[in-house]
Amino acid sequence: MKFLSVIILIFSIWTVKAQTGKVTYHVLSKNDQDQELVSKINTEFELMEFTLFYDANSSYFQLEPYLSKDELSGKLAKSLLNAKNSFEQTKKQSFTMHEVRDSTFKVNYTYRLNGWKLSNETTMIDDYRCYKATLDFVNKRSGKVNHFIAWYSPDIPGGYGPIGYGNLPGLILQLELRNAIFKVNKIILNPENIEVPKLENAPIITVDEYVNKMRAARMVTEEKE
Amino acid sequence: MVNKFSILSFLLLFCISVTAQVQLQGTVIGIDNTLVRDAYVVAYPQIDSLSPTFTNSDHKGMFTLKLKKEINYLLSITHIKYISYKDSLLLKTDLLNYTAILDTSIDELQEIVIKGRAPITVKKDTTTYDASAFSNGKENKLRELLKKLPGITIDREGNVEHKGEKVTQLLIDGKKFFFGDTKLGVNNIPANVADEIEVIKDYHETSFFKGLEKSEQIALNIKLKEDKKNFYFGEVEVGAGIEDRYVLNPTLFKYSDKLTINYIGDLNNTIEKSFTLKDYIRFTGASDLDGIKDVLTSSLSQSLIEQEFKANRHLFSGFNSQYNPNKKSEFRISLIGLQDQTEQQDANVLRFLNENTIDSRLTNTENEIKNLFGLFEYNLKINPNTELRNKLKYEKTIFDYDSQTTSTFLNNGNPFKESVTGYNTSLLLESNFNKKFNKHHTTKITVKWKLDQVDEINSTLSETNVFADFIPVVNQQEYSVLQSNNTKSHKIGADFTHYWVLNRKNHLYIESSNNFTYQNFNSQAFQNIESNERFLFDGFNNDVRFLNFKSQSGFTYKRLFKNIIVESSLHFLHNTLSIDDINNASNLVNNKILPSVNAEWQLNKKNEISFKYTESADYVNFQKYTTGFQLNGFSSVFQGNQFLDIQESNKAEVNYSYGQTYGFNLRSTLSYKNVEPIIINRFEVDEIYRTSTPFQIDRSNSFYTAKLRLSYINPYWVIRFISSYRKSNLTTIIDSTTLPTTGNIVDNALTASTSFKDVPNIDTEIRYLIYNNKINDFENTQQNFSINTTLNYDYEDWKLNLTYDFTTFRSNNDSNRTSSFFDNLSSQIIYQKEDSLWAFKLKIYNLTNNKEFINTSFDTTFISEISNAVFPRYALFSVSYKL
Repeated sequence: MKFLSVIILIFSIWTVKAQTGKVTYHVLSKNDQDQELVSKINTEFELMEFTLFYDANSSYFQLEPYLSKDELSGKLAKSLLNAKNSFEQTKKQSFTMHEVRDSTFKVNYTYRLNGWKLSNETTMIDDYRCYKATLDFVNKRSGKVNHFIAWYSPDIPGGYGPIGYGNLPGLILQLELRNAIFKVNKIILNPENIEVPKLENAPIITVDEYVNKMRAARMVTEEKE
Repeated sequence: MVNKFSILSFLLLFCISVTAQVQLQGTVIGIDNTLVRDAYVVAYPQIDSLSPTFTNSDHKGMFTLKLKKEINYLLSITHIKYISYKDSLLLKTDLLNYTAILDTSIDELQEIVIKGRAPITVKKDTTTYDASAFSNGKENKLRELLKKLPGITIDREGNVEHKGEKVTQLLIDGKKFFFGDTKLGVNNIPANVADEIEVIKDYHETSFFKGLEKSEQIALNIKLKEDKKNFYFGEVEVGAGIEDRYVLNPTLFKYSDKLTINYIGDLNNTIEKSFTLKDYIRFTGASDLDGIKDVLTSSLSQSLIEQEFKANRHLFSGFNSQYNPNKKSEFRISLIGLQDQTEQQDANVLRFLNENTIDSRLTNTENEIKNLFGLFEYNLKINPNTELRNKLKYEKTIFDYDSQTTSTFLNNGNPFKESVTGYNTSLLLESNFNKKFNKHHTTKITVKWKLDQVDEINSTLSETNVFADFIPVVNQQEYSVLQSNNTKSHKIGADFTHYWVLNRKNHLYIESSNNFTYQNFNSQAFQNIESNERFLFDGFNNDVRFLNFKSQSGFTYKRLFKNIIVESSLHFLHNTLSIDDINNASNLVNNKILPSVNAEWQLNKKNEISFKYTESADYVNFQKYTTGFQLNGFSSVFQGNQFLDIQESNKAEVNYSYGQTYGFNLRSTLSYKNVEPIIINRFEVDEIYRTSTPFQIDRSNSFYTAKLRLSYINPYWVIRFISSYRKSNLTTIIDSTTLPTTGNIVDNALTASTSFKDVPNIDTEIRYLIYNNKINDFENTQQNFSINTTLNYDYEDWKLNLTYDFTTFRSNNDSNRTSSFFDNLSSQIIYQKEDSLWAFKLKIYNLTNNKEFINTSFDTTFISEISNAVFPRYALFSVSYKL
């Protein structure tokens, strides 16, 4: 019997090809304030394009290189979107790279995968019925609650999404941050010759460790209890 | 009562029956008969009041969900390897053997395009850096807080640098603070109002020094604390000291969503001036090279150029307000009033190279300058993609410089007097129209009209004839010789730029800039003779009209290759100048194609290489075309030349930088600039007298520059080594002889600064400067060695600041060798009890009571060794109160 199940397993590897995908996102601004800087940043948002590559094991989310119209606004836009560096996501974990004092760390953003509150609310994004899920994250230092909304489609399996968010019962087609919205542009399922990139190797640390390292790297900041 | 109870119990029962739970247990199996683990299993209830229930299948493909009884559910099971599974469920009792069979997605190979919809509107609240994380609550002004941010350095004046790059914009809650000036804001805004600070790297201030050098700059945005958002805050400093010193420095700021008001006042007779040349350039809003040139040649600039003075009375008022009545309109008004009176005393030994004549002069100068500056802006946002900006700028400067000089050469018993008086008025009207058609197309149109008027009289009054032979003075009891200059110009300009974003990696900008200038220049030199009449000097008058049309049109193409940004542009320049003099008229026309290339190669996060090549061509200052003589004081005369054609220049530059937050940082630049055919002044020298005339010769001037900036940055200290070398190959014409001329400048500086906690901190600079000039076989070398040290110590409620400057000069040439020495020790003690609104300050300046500061300078025809009287020792005690 055991032998048979092994045979079945091997057979299944042969037959079941995992779904892969290449998804592009664009960014919409949630800010319509009449300020020069705001409109410049919104212009940068318009020019940006992101790509999510995924297969059965992992995904990789990156900002496609582009020419900013205004360098300052480009930098600001990137940091507002938290998209300076690429994200790698496995089934259970989410990472991005950060630099502290010239050392590079792979920071674990797995909190972006857990604690979703699913909702019954749905919306149609193109032909896909998307369900709403929300995630609240409390910033330990400022005490501010960051509220994220994801619209995912159960029809496109794979719990991936932009900037390390995911582990939902479907691909995130739209992710709403405080300032901006990642919105799907184009989905190519099972593209030819897809290779999901990986982050480079670096010591893995948690977000709290990263914050502590940042704080220690500053000169006069005293450690807060 | 009973009734109510029964209704309640009924409701309760109803709720229980509605929320009664049933269990759904099942297995997820693939079509290939494998047990599917980690599948997402969600049951979406088909009524809005309930939330979906969610789980993952375990390693045996099993899952359990708790569902509400008799509710319709949509069961969805998803796994990346399979097509999503859907089923409708309505359970009355537990269902324990549910089986879901998932189909494979092997044959799905399709492209889906989903188009985005309109954005959702939500108020923005951006957060970047938390001020409270850096503050210990003791910081008084913003500068002390900023100092604690990693990578930020602030010099004594209040100029802010981030990782060695200058911060050029200061924003308060996203609004420009006093034209974005850092110095004024950093030194005046209290630290305790800052909630968040945004440091924005690589800020590229558009068009500033465009075509000259790349300016990698930084902006700083200070976000106010919630309770300081709609509030007045400010500070008054009042002080008095010996001998007869006073200071009054009120500052007031008001912020609210719709109205912003800033006021900064300063009245003092100490060495501190709250308004300097840099501030002035910023206040005038000069944003291109021509604008800066205009500002630098203005009379106010001349008085603001830092010089040693021995007495000062400084009165300054700056007012800035911004009003946003609604989302569409914005009004901004800025007013500045300035009155400065300074006294200077200098002893100047002039060595004239031609005949080795030496003249020692002693001069006392009293300067007074009044300036009124007003800027009114009205910006209208017609719709989110269309805006109109209008600017009205008015400026008036009244100046009066009076000096008395005795000269050993002239052997004048009584000093002769020289004065420059006059006024300068300028008015600018500018409109700016920006329209964004879509993501790919944006157009910017600027039209402006500028009026400038300068009227000044230079006079020399002497009991003896001190004038050069070539000045046709008539013998009088007292000689009063004057030169009046009047310039009036109108400039009309229209600029057009269209930004075309072809795609993510290609941009094309189409540009056209057109300027039309009309200038009228009048000058007359004359002598006041006894019968109250004017004796006009023959040939010493000008009445010239200039008409200049300059048009530059072309395109810039910007492309991103993997990690290289290449920006190349081609412009067609059409430049005409017609000169209508009293006697003759001439016309100059120049057409030229100007290419430029700029490439930036980001090797990796730390290394960057850039290359830049630019070409430019322009006429010189119009007044160099005037043919009548002009007096330049009692000893020199200038005559223009109408045969000056365009000067072309090209510049190439290579940069390499290696940058990181902490550790070694390197920035190096090599540049080459060539100008031809050059326009130089031809001098005729006779003892202390000289005439000069610009001449164009078929030669070139070349300049080579190498710069190195090496630093080591640690969280607690920074060491920098900055070295630059500049070599110039020039030509000089003296008495009809053409002489090859070279200039060399070597500047080496080593600086160290610390920022430790609870111990004294030091900020020190050791600098060694060498100037070497060689005209034909005459060589002059000047060496300056200086050490500037500041010691800061914060101890509990006390703050101590000690400054020591030390400088030595050595000048060395074929005929003479001199050396001198200067030092200055100043200290400042501030006492402020934590959380107290009061602060007390004692400042002692020039403790060692030095009297003079000696420096030498080299001009084409003479060497000047000048000893300036310095500001005398004083002690000032001041009290400040925070409003």
